[in-house]
Amino acid sequence: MIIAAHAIKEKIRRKELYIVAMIGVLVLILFSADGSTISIAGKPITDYDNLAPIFLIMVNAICGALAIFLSLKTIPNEYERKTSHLVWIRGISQTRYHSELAIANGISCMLAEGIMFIGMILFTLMKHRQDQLWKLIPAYFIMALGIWIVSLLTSLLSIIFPGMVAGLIAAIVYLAGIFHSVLELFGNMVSGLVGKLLDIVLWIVPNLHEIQAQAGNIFTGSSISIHVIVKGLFIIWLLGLGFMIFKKKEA
Amino acid sequence: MLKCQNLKKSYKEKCVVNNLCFQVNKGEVFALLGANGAGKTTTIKMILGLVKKDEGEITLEEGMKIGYSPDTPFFPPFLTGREALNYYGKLQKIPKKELSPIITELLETVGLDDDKTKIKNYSKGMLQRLAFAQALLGEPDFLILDEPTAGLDALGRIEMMELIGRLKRSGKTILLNSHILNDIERVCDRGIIMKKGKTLGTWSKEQDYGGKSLEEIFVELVGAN
Amino acid sequence: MGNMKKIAYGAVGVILLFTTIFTGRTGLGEENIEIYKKALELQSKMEGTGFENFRLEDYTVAFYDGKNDYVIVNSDTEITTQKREPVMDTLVATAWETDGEYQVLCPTVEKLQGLVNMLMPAAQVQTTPEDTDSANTDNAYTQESHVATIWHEAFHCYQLTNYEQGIEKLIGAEDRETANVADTNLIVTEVDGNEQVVNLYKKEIALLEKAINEDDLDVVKEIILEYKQLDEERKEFLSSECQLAEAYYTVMEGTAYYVEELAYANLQQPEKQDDRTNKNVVWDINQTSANDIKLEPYTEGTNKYYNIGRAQCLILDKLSPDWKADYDFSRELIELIYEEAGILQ
Repeated sequence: MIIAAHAIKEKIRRKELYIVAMIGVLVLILFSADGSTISIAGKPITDYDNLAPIFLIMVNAICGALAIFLSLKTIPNEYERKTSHLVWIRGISQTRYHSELAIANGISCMLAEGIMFIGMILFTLMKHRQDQLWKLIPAYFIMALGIWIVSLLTSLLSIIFPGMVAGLIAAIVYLAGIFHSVLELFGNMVSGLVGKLLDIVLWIVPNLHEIQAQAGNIFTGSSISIHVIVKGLFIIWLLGLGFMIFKKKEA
Repeated sequence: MLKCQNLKKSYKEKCVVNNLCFQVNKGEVFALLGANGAGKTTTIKMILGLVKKDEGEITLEEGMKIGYSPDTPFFPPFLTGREALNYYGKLQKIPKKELSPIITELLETVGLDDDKTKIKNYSKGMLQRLAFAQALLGEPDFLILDEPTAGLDALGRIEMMELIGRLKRSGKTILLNSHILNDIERVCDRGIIMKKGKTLGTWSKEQDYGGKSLEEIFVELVGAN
Repeated sequence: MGNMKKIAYGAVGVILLFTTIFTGRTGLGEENIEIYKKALELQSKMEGTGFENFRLEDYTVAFYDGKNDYVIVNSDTEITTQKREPVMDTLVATAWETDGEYQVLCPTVEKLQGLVNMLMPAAQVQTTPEDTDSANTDNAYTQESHVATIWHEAFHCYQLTNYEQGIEKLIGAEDRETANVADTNLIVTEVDGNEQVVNLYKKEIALLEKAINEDDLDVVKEIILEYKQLDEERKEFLSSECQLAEAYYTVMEGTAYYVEELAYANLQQPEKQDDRTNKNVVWDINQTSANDIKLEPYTEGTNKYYNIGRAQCLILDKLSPDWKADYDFSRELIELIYEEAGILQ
């Protein structure tokens, strides 16, 4: 995992993660200020049990977008500045090279998620709900599943497509994933060609919403679906397979 | 060591390497000569497998270790030279215990003694030296050097050529790509002169060209075409 | 990648694939069957509702998961399911005519949970009863809610199967299906769009609440008299079509909501606190007085008729506990109330 370790160091040194820290702090301020600015139906939401799941949703959404941001240019940069040459000639297979870079992306995204979760820890402590702290650990790892999917997908797309195209496809898939349930609802109402197309899209796009919902279930006390977790792991495995299949023709 | 037959490579409609044939023998320093755009770097990349050839055969001796110094080297700016060599050394699976002294020796060999300077503060010449050092990791049998003296001052070029000479005497085989003819004439044994992907002619140190220098031969061939 | 690594990677994929398939649901999820069983267990208690021959087991219940219907097959020994093509796409439970009978058609708990998770928290924020400055988000959709909903829809099946003529008489139509009495536009424009009507409704709801919580029947009758005045004043603003629509919703949905709340109440132990804010229930269906029942405030649309109709049922429970025995849905509940209270029309 030498390439992965090296790539993570580079990301840390390039200060990309500090941007995440700033966003995390902003989100924390948003949630933790007394007289919270979050309100629904005209009523402010202030108590922890209601805010925590909302915080999770926001953290998940931000981390997903950050996953695209952190993962999009890593592999293309290697080829643009030709550092790939010095790796290829050392007999490192493309599968290993790209996979390790993708793993570095995933770990960076988890670090970013961790920074956001520090905000959540502080928020929990500020609301004097230390009893809820332990829930953040499984919630973190469950959410990481969705973030890894977005990161790996972006990394894979960056091998196949030019930069902006890869980013655009990743963003579309990501949005479709977090709004999967909404699209399903819409799909139930629509028939004909549009309905069929939507069915296909829903089949292809991973249901990121249901993964995030499992993290929320930890806070609401609902049961966690093992099926969703295992399915998420299987999607990660499939994406990993993609790194064996899709390769660059030239360094 | 290396045999290239009828190599061909095109990018879109443009043919950049056209029916190239040459052979590099063990222990010699062989040069690819030509102006910019002659196809020298593309040829090297095809040999290394960095670029796919359209046609032709490339035969490399089996089990041979290759070291490559690129023409425009890039190293992570936040690393020092030592750290960069450490990274590539690990990729090459050089044992940890052996790696540190090897790196020390290599840095001394290429004239980069300062461990503390970050690569972001390197000059072009220093980058070139570092590229050379990483090419030497793992004691390769066959060195491929793309414009090894680019960015070096006169003294640097002399030092680099002397180093290449030492490597040759130690038994290394070297394929050298350069457009600085004086350097070539000093260290190389043979070479081919290229223009627009084609071989215009060959050159050998041992051959008598009636007192003409390599530069004169080059100008004659390239000018005629 | 070495062959061993490839094999190991492949093995991991196979394990994950099989685990995904194994843990995935085929057929109807167990939780839905549990919900049906819970609903069925209430039957003996719910037979005391007083509505003649109203039994859940008389009506087919089917769960819809977005792709298929799963019809519950209730034999003596076990409960199984039969898959069929979905008869309709539904996001909410409903009573639907299929195969010559009215059936309860219900989304699966997973489908509903997904909908709730997606809409949470925006759709579920409610104000606290004291209407303070903070809001709470309601909790996730519960099994008990699902059970109560099944009873609600089963009651619709009961109404439509046995009392179609009565309903037609209520709305003055020869054919209920073509009567178009369920036109919600009338409600929106004539009722919700008229501030005077809205204000009158708010007063009426307050009076209903007062009547429900009053033990003295004489006082209840006075409240009803006051209510009647407001009711007549409000109706002057409404067209006859709108009044018929209101009558339809109040009777049909009000009685079904009354049954739903009874089912919900009977799922709870009396000593336990009610989970849902603002919805205190009658714990004992034979109780003629209740403690501190609060009605939902005025809302736009047809939801208010669920509340008002149920309130009218509760008042009728006070005035005439046997009112349900021969009620055929051909008259408005408020008419019965006036009659039982001795108030002439």
